[in-house]
Amino acid sequence: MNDTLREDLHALAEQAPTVDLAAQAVRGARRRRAGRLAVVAVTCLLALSGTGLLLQLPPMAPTVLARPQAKALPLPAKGVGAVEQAFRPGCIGGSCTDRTWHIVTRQGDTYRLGKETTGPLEVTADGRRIAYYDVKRGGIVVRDLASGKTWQAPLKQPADDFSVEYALRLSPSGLRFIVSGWGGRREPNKLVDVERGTVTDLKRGWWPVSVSDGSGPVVLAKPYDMTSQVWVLGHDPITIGDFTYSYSALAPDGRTLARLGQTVDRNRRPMVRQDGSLVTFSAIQAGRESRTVISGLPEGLHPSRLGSWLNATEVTVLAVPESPGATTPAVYAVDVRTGKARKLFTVRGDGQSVVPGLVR
Amino acid sequence: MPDKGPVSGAQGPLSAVEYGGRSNLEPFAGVDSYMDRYEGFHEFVRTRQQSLMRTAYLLTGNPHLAEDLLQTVLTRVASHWTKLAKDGNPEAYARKALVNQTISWRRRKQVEFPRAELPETAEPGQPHDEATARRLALRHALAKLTPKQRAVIVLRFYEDRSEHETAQLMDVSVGTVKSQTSYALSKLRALAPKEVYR
Repeated sequence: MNDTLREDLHALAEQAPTVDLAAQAVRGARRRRAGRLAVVAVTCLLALSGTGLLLQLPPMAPTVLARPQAKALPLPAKGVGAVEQAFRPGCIGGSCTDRTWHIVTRQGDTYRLGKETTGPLEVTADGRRIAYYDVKRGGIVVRDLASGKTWQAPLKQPADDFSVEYALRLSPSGLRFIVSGWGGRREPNKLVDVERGTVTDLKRGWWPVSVSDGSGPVVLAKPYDMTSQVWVLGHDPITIGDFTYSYSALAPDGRTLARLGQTVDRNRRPMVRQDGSLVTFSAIQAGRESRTVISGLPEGLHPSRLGSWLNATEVTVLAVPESPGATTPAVYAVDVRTGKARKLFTVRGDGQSVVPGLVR
Repeated sequence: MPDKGPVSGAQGPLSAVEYGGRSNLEPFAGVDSYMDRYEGFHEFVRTRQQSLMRTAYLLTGNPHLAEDLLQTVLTRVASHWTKLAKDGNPEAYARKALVNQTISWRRRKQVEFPRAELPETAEPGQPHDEATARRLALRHALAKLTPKQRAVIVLRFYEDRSEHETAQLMDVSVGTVKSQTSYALSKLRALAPKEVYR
């Protein structure tokens, strides 16, 4: 039955290039081994120094530029202003003593969340609500920072769901979200409506792009080798000519998305690179798109991810350095008509950072 | 964090924006007893890499990505070579890693994932013969499959693995292999010309 298929697969396989990878593989293995030894050595030295042995450690260069640590108070029960960004401190010198989330308000106050919130954390685009996995409740909790009111999502989840790659995409109010996971035992992909108490299964393999409040549009995307599909639920999926995950949230008009433009050069590594442009397109009707070049980013920063829209024409863009530590990442507002960027705020460059409304 | 993809920009299991530090590995780079640790590895690669490369090429549909994939896997094999050479099966390990790594790469969010290439094998302006046209169509059709579907097609019909072997290689149940094979063949039949894969 499938002899032709077998024959054709063998014919295709014969087109595989000839390679000689032994030396490269050994070099890679040596680097991996050296890395493991380095970790073991540092761990041993730290342990020995704790017992009182005086060992002269060579001075170590700081791995990243870090801000002076602001004093972080425990998050008050209520009365907290809108969040500019959240972060989880990185490990310094092999020490990871503080892995709790911190939020920084637009007024510059820094608060520390409790130890029960060491899982995922997301912030609504307006910064007024946070959503996090609560270990004790076994699910996502949404919290209004000003009033202190919390909502428990009607979906129980094991912590394992967030020990693999995941996405938690919030609606503007935070009361409707998609939680997705890849690589774990369960691989959930569910649309959760906290207010209505409903949980809807989404098709597997579709990645969450944007969720609106109430019964508003939900946008999913699915990449293929050469293209991607974008699907506003209730409409037919459209196909775009890029493999990408760099989408914005849905624009205020309810049908426009932005994505970062990219080019392909098979003689280059990586072969696909973002080209510094911003493409806006209809998520409902294929073929309607326009492109503009982003300008106004400082040298060394390039657009990495898109987020929510500030108004009908400006979308938020996270810009990051080519290499870690070279320049501090920052969030910009980019006018999709002109491409002109204006800086909103600098992102902490150490540890993990969360930018409100970022699609990632 | 698991191994990154073949190109920069891949994100780890935690999807928050992560700005990693640099590791200072050089002082330890010379501690390997190179010849002993990797004894036999070069011979293994020399004899098996082209076979593995062909599978990697079918799994990815792209020669550059296939090379990246195989190099990643062989690096992992080299890292565990002492144990694999002593009481393991290096080739089985490598083939399983190929399958799972490619599924993981394609599932992971990474904008730099390369596209599958569609090289023309006929001269411009010349008509393809029937087999060439069919194989071009097959290549197009494979690109439309999900990573798991593509993997089952390669394992079942290129490597001629049984359903049980395929399930073991992919870390899934035999039932999943059956269903993924069925879906994949349906897609191929729908996409290939002249209904040749009946």
